[in-house]
Amino acid sequence: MVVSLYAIRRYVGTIVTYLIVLVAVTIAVFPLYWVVSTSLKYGVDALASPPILFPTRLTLENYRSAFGEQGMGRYMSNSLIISVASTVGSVLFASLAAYALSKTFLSYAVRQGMLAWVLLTRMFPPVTLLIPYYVIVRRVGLSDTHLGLTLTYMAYDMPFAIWLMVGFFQELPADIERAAVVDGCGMWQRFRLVVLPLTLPGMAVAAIFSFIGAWNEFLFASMLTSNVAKTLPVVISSYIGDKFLRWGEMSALGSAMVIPVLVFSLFAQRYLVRGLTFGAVKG
Amino acid sequence: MAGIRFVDVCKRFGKVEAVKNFSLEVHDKEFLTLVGPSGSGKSTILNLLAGLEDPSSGQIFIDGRLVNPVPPGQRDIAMVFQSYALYPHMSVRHNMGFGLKVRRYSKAKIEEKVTEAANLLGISELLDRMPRELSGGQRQRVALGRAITRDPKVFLLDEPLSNLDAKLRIRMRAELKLLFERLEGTVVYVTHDQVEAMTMSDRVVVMNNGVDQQVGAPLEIYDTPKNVFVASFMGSPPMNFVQAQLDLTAEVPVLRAGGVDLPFDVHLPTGSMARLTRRPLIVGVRPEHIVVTAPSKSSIACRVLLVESMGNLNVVHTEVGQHRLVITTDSAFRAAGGETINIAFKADKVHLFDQSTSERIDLFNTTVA
Repeated sequence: MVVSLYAIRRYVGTIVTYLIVLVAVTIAVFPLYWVVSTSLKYGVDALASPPILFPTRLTLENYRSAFGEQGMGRYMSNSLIISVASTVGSVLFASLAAYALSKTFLSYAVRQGMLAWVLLTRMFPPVTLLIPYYVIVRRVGLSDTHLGLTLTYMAYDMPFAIWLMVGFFQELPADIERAAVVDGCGMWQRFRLVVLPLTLPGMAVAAIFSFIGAWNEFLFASMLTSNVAKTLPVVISSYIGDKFLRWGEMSALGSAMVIPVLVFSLFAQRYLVRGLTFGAVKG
Repeated sequence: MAGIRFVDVCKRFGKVEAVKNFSLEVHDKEFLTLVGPSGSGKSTILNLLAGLEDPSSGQIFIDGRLVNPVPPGQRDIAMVFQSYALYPHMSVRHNMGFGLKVRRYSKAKIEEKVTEAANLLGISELLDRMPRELSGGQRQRVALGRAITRDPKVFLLDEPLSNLDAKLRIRMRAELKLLFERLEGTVVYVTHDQVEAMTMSDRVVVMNNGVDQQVGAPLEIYDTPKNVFVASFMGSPPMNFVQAQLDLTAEVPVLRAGGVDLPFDVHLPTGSMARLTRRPLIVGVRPEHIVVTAPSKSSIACRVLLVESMGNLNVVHTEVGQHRLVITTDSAFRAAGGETINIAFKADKVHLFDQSTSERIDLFNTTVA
């Protein structure tokens, strides 16, 4: 059988492509694998040198220790409450803002100005706002409360969510809203029944970013909470002491923290796909 | 069902006057078409009637009631958009029932009306499908169904056929006409297609640059266009135009058009002919009113440029002097490019327009200035 040069080139090209993809995936997934495997290792094995890539003996002692810790249930629910609340809040308000900013009722200059202003808040490295935030939150009496941290996260997430969703709202054909108006919808009705369902993909993306951001956030959480509203990232950092470094518990908590995010993302991505196939308007 | 009245309606977008002093009365149960090129203001008028735009000045009445302050949802109108604008996230059934749901009709009533409309339009099997699963023609029927379930006083249709392929368009033209006859609805229909305007309407309004050029029954507009624009817009192939001057000094009255002489043997009141000679004219003749004849005193010789065979008739492009004339003949006509043929105008089918105003000159009106 004669094999053409072209076929060989294509075959080799495919192999090379797959190799590159394999390397990229490994680089991306390896940290996660390392954390999970460390969480299942005995303390001794975790500190072994050279590092043990494939542990032969596994244990659940790290998980028992971490989750047996006093108050852990409360810290977990704190993280959950704050993340969900800030996600819901920021996506809700961002969609309202984005809707308004996508309308031609205001002039183009005004809208662009407002969008730029909104985005400006994200141009500061968060750490520069840390102390002002601390002072404000304390003065208002919201330090170490769920509300305080939720509002902080919302303020941080909303600019991005607004920017993201303005694009989605602008893509909505104007005729669909006109049809809703002719059908008798008031402004809220048409926003709720027609516009919002059609921007679910945008909301899904914004929600995913918001949730992950809030869930993993450490800097503001450590400054604005101390005991009552402490979140998991802060708890994990407390395992780094001056005289100890509890890798086992840290990686156990870290691994456990990944799960809600995975679940949420799997849930939200369904809306991502659904919205992308609508074609009720010609063409 | 109701009548509509526009009183001196104007609409400005910034500096642009989209609609200028538009006044019209639409009769109850009438099928009225607004026809004109893009930018003529016809869609704007529809949006003003719907309440999607507010007039800069003027009043609009539906069924005797001033609707300027009334929002679209309360004007008792239903609209079919050019893009259909179906709600993508709702099934056909919910699309059609949405207007009723918003108005708090009972579930049973909604079901009844949706089923009725679906049967009327032949889309009963599609009720549980989503818009993205439908073809263009099916979506259009759903859009119609959404309007029909509302049982409105007035139906507004914005170029509903323009996104369909040619064959479907012809079929839907007839279906729409029959449908609205059956529903006995007042219909305001917007299109740029003069064939739709001719075939479907009780009356036609020809629009250009925001001004209504002529209002009348389709044949009236076709046979007696008020100006050059209306004459050129209605009819396909379009009317032929030639600039000319009437000369009575010859044996037979002649229209002299840049080197070409067109015999104009028409019996007119004595004064009119003389008065016509004073002004430069535009002569208009429809392609079907030019006939191929044997050479004679009243015929003109012209050179064939191209013969387009449509199957049922031929469209012949000819050249006379510096003028191009388009003629329609029956399909049996044969001629080669470059061949010379003789043509004559049906004298009573010639239209005369004043060159400076583009307005029609009514030949038999004795008060021609």
